[in-house]
Amino acid sequence: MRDDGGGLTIQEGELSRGGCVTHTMTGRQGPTPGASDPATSGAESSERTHRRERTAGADDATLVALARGGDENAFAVLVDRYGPMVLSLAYASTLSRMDAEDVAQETFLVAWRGLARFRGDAAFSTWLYGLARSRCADKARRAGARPRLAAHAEADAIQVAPGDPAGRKTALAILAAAGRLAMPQRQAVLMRDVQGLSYDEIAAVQDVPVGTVRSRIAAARRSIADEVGEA
Amino acid sequence: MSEHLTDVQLSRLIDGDLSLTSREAVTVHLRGCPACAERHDQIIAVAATLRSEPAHAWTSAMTSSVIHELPRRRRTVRVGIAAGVSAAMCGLVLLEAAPVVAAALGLLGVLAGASVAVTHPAVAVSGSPLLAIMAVAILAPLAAYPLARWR
Repeated sequence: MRDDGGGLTIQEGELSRGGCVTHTMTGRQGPTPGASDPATSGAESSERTHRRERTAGADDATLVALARGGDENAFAVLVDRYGPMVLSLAYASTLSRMDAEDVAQETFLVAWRGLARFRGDAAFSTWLYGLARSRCADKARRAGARPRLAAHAEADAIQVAPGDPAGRKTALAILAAAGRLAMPQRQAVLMRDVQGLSYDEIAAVQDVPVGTVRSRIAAARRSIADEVGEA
Repeated sequence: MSEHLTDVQLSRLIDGDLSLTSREAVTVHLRGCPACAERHDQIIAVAATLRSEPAHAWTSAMTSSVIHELPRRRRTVRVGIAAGVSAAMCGLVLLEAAPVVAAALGLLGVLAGASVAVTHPAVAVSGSPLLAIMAVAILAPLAAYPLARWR
């Protein structure tokens, strides 16, 4: 970013997370299934890892068919593949790390139980994201019924990053303003700016056209800027 | 470009989502329009602040946690099924109809198990504990059958 005297210009891609390369998440670029995990060690772990590696490259339809038959390793590959996107949506919805993990876990458990009913008319990811959006909406309704807990969840998100007091005050105001946005706008802008998802990924998760995502993000940033500017 | 820039144009510029031609046009406009430049600064400040927040990343431990939850729920179902079968068999023992029913159930079980093993090998493996529990649930009342007759 530089000031040319008459106005501020920005080079393409200049604004990225923490001055580094923008962190994008794609469902197929998640952590290696069964990768070094201290919680799962020993012979059983290596056997599971071996089984997961055999199915890691399989497409969704194959994995869903295996998982429907009770193959937990196939389901684990699907969880690894789509966990980042589901968690991003949940975090953007709840603004709480703990609640986001609960929502993500609940989503996958509901998916596991519902695999028998999944007919494959739509992509597995579309079905899964639909389940995730429903869980997020449920969580938001419950939080709305308990405003104190909602405020706590907001604070939970704000306290996570260190920084200078003035900067934290601004960040707090911006995150608080984001928390008051309509859910679709909040999800879109936080998935983009905090979680680092691309427009296409957000469109897939929200099940809307990319143009709608662009509008939601632009409107969200404008609303936050206006609210923080007035304060 | 004489009119002011839209919020979408400014956001897409920040995200590097504009074509080269559009980006140049927007950049030229920003240089000559203080109002749009000010809005651009406000929006870029919001995006920069949000991007400085740490992302919540998925970890393999979270996958393990999800998978760990699956068998526990299925064990509950298994125990429920086995308890139901066992209770039904105990009832049949009292009615002295257990041998005929057990033979029919056993035959059906063998046929169903063979069918599943061929079409869904994964189920045959993961379902073996259930089959074992079912076998015990059926055989235990059968073992009690002579006792019931003797009494």
